[in-house]
Amino acid sequence: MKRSILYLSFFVVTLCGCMFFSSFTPGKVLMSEKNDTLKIVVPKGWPKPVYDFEKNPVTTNGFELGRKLFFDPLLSKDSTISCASCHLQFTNFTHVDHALSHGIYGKKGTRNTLAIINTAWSKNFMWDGGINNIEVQPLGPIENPVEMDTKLVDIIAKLNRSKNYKTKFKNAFGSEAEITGQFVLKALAQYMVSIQSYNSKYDKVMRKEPGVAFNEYEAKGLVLFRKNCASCHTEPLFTNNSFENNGLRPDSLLRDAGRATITRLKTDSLKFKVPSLRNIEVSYPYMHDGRFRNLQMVVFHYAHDISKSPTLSPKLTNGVNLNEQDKNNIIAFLKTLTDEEFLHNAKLYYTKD
Amino acid sequence: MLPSKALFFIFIACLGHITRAGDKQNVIIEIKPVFAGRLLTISTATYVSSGGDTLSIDRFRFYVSAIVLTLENGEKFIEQNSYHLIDVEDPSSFIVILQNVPTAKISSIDFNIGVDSTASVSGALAGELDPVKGMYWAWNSGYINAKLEGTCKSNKGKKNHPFEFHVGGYLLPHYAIRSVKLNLQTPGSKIILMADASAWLDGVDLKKENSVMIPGREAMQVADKYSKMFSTN
Repeated sequence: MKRSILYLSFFVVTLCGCMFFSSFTPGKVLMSEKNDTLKIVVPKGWPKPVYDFEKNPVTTNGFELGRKLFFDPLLSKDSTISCASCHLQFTNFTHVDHALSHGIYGKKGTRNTLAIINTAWSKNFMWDGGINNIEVQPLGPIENPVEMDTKLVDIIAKLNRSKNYKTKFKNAFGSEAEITGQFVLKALAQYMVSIQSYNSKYDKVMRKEPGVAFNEYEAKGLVLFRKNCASCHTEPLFTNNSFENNGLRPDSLLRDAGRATITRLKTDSLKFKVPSLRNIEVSYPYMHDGRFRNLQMVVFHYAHDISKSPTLSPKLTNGVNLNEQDKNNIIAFLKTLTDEEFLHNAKLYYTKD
Repeated sequence: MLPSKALFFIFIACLGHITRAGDKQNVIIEIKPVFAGRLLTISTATYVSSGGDTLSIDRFRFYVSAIVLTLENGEKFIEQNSYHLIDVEDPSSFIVILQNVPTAKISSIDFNIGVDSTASVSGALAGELDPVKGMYWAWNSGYINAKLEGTCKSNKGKKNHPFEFHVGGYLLPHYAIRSVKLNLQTPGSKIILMADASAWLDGVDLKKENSVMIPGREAMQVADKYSKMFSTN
């Protein structure tokens, strides 16, 4: 294993109090703590993260507290639903096999669970982009009556009954730290921004790692992908962080206007977040309402079933011209975005203390 | 020689300190929630709006932020990190103390009703801005600048029908923050401001307009109305 010593950027030095860090990394280490238990990397060729790490430096204690909260059903009204109920690591932190997730009391929502990955690069959250910062993202599911149906103030009351939590908040945020809404959200954010995927076969091929190469179908798939899909699902994040109407026929029961729910602009009607395609193979079903069970249905949609409407993405007006072999090649390529190291990264697991 | 010189400097330093201390004052701002001039009582009292609705008020909360005092000599005192949540259910929130204000007559006060857009995009904040205060929207990020909730008691509207106004929004063209400027008549270090909830309902028919819960044009109109709710007398 190649080992290199990386000089950390100046603000990381102030955050970590250490000057050097030794490990194999595929990019610049943005943040790291003792024993390499935790590190945040800006992989080579990636843009600068959107998230402001200076305002919430990720520490081992903060990360572990965030992880504990993420897996704790205490965050829901009747203590039955945790974040991890719908965001499972092995399936790209989303809820597979559920078109629409069910939350508290078995109630169903109106949208397909989004994956939580590479959130430090996301400008906004949710299918409609209504949430503007990863730190306040958990408020959405916490207060939603069909998800966790509670209030931050009630969660804090519950946390305050636990000596263990009280200690952990002090360890994470200073000896004087009380359990506040801000600290609950900052701890969750520390965990969520640490959920990073950048070690798929695609990444390794791009980094020209020895012994890794695309097969014929994957290579052709990449060319087709770049021609037909990449203007929205832009490398390396596989999203351009925008909102698009991708030609799905509106669902007359759900009646979801998407981005327009937030902006109240007609021109945003039926537009939804362009999701990242990393780990797409394990993130089924697909689309904001989970209408497609597999990637074949997704590719079929783009090739043959674009529904025209005034806000349809101009990139899709003429459809996507793909033959059967092309479709298979694109799917073969999409499967190279699966990052097994990430899906089975023990650092992100539920850990009993 | 040296000790006496040292004493002299200590004396000067003390004098300076005393002088500086004498130059500063604490200014107390007291905010009195009222309805059409009557002191506001939550839930149990009934009031009549200018639109003729009989009603009770169940919740009345608003942010006062970015407080600036203008002194008689034109000097300005700008409160740093100036965010105060005034909540009728919490009388301790009615008093805002500004420390180290230069001692001089205060000729006017400026502040905003609501929270600025910068704070609305800054993630999870602390203190008065902690989302735990219930003034942060979960599904559409940003602060709720002000809330007025109540119950319509008369038959004119729907009897016992609730009304709810949650006003916020930080994105143009629906940036619902409002600025207030009041000239002060009374000298001294205590400023009393009336916050009149009836201003929210000025010309409003509660039968037709009884709910604003999202940013947008309607929220902007309510904000325009309540921007006139403050007076000094």
